[in-house]
Amino acid sequence: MKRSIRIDPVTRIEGHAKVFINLNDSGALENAGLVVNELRGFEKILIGMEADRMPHITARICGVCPTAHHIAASNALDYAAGVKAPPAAMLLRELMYMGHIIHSHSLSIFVLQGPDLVMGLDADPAVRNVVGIVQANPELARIALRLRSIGQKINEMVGGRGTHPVTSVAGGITFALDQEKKKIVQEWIDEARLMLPTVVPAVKGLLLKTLDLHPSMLNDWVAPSWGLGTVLNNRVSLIEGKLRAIDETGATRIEFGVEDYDKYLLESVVEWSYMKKVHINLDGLHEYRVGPMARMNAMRSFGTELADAEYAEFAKLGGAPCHLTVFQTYAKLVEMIWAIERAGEIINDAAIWGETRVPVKFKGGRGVGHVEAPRGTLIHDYEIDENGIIRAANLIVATQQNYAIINRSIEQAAQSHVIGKTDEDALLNAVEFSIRCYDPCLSCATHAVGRMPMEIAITCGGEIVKNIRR
Amino acid sequence: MPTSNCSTIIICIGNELIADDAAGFEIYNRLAGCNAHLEFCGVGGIDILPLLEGEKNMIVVDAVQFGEPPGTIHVIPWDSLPRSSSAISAHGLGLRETVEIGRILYPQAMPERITLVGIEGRCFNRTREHMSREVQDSIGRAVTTIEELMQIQAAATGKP
Repeated sequence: MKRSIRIDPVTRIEGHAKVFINLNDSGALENAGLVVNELRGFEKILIGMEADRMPHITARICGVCPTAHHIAASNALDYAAGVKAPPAAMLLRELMYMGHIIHSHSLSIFVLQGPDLVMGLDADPAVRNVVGIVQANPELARIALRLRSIGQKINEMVGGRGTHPVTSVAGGITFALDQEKKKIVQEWIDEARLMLPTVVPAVKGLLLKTLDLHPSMLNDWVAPSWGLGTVLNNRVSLIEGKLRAIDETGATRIEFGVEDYDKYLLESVVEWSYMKKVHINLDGLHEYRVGPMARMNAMRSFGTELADAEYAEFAKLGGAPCHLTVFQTYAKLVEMIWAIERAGEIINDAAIWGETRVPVKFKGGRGVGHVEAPRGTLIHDYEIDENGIIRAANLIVATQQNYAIINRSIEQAAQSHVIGKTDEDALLNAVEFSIRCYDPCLSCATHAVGRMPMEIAITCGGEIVKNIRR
Repeated sequence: MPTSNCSTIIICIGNELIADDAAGFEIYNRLAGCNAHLEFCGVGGIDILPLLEGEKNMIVVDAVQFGEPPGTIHVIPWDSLPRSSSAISAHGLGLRETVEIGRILYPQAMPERITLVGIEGRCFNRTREHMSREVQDSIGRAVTTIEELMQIQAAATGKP
């Protein structure tokens, strides 16, 4: 049957977008994908600004991952100035970043994906939201929000501000640690660790229950692909290290410094969307995944007790490398455990008490830096003139790199939950859920701002024949 | 949870780098030293909850777009606030959802009375130096409005 289905709005993703699902004349899936309608063009806005403002300005691209842009910009400026931030500065940047990861993954798991897991995909959208979670399980909600708040407090203590940090600068960091601040951070970390025995089984239980109810997610929502993640000292790393590209089997195909990203990552314009696609360019073009699961696939060790134990459990259930779309939530959970443990390591590292800043002068040239943002690899690339002014900027963000795989997952969700099925509301929830597994941040991907009303349209033989709105 | 000595918390929201969106930040600076628990948030929403310390009144200050001339100052009680979309942004939560959650999870910390002081803005796509003249001119009036509101609310609660 020819039909077109629209969802307006699709909730809990950021930006403005539309999903299309095209069927052929016989009703079989032809293709499906995400169309991003809005353009803000931050790369152009940056031109003409002073380079040393980049950590502050680019943090404003996004209210969800500002710390990722803040640190990526700082790393890029270090490179441009030909300096290396002192070890204490890198540890403090990383401590800030671990707070950000705790905050962002808690928000993503509990606020953005939690409603699907707690209320079920078939629940009425009117209650399938975070207020519904709070009503259904107030104790878990209280713990989850406290965990998010602890992450944000660590981020704020080191970063100077919670949502848009200001302390990381070219050449280091302006934050100064003292014993009183260390004591406070340690107490927050201890409190977070005590929450893990409650939070981890709860999230895993909800995820496994969802898989029981929707076995196709385990069997059909599998997207084998290359992956990209950052490694350092034989463990996952988030703010420094080499980029490692792996193939579908998990074999390492290449490792490179971020300054060579344009040799191996190829951006291309898509005519029907403002979001650009990226492929790994190595013996042909390869779609690839970034984010917590890609990082774990690329480097199967965190170097901390609890995270490594949980990763072993993850691999037992999901395989190694894992290509299950819905396991990206589980990957976030493992990484959140690690962030708590790693924050504890950093605050007790004697090197954190050293010099935190070196002088910086821009002589003109290129500045490239990266971090592993909560949603995946984030690269900042600037051309800076001899007066320290930005002359060109290129930002490669996680959602762009996941774009091809997101589209593949939409096709799989459409195949398993939409085509030939009759309960349209529940089925459309599944398509939304498949997208939210990637936690797409379209504000970053198009550098757009705002809330995202999304529309899903199914066409058959090129014609839209039915609309469903809610 | 700490208990505030003030009966009012003022939460100013905005982006100090963006033209009219900087109104909340400007007002936050002008209110420094006022007799209230004063906070600034870059993004409103769920970050507000940990700031609440059992104050009876909450005044939220932000640039708004309600279709009035720029510089218009709106004083809107909670019950009259426009209902936001059911959508939940990845930025977190809207003010309404945040308060709903707070009332379920932390009833003892939640204010009895919530008021939005909104400054009607026009320019949200240029940098700070392009703040509209009308919005710039309204900052002082907004501060006066907030101070008067605090006095009225303090008189009602018998606490500064």
